[in-house]
Amino acid sequence: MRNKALMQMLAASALLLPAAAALAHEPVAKCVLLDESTVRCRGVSNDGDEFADARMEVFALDGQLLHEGKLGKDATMTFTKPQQAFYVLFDTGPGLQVTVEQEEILPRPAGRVPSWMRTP
Amino acid sequence: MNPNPLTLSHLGIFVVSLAGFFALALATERHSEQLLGRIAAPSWRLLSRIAGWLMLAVSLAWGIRVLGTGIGITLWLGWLTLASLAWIFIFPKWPWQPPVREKPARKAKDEPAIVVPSPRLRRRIAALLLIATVAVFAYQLRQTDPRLLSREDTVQGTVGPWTFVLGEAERDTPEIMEMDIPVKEYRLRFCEQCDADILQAYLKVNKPRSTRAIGMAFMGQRWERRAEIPLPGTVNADSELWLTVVGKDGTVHQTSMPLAKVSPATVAWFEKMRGRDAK
Repeated sequence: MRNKALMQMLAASALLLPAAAALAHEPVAKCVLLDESTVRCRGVSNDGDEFADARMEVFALDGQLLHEGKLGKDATMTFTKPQQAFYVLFDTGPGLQVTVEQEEILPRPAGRVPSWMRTP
Repeated sequence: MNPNPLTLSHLGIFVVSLAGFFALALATERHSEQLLGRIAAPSWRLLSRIAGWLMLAVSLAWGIRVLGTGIGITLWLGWLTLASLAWIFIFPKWPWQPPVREKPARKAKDEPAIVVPSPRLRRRIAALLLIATVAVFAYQLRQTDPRLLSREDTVQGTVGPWTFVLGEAERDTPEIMEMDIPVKEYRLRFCEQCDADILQAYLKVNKPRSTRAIGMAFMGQRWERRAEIPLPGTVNADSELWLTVVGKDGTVHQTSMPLAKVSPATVAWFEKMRGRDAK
């Protein structure tokens, strides 16, 4: 990861980007419905880097853990849509987490979609 | 070994700029003679000039695409420097150069050199660009408020026994990050006496579903804690920003405030985007 260190060094020293606070690697997550009963979520850092060994959890609203797994290809996790209401938690470390509510999980948009949304 | 795609992009940018500079060198009389042994035909030189600039443009586009505008341009300039330096050191050692011609001794300058009319327009454009750089920098500097929590648009509130001030780092629309996810940065300060009692503070949009799903933690110095949170696509005028604060004594306190009050421009942006999608 030498070039990443170089990037950060340059970004920090160049003072070209006073607004770029993206170097903390905050997690972001997005989920889509592949079909009526399948959900696929992708979790990465907000500047697009994939976290090796990151995990994602699916909880029922009462707190019960419904599904849990390591992110696979394209930093995604695919699971069967739970019968009950749920939310997805992408927790990458102390104070670094993001929740995806069920209302945010929509069918894939029409037209060109990113490759991680395409099956299989 | 599985090469990192980012490493490959850096290599690609470097190789394309190397090729671009080589084509540009071929386009000049001096270097085309040195590299080919003869001066290339004008049409060929024009072609290689176009190709050269095109390749430099491609490497710039590549850099911006992979690394983003700011870092992309900066690193592209870095690779250009390395590529041109590489040719500077390679050209003198170029193995296929023609034998050095005997050059007549230079005549002493007894007649005045031909005066080239100064390219005034070009010089003015260059000066204008220099001024523009300083002007844009000064404008940005003015827009950046170093004491942002003393601004008028911050929100004051109480969470448990503690009072706080919360504000957005930038008042405009959210920054769009990976996977088109809008991200917003916030700053938070507790009252001076409160600070000593506080272990950690967390922020998220929508009510936390559990004691674990409380959002991103604030980082940085305690008098200006900062957190960058992703915004859900469901943000609307009723969305709430939830602050969870954990005290050093283990107590947990929560409060919420309308997102529209803290980030009016952001909520308006979501409504606008929704209106556009509906069309």
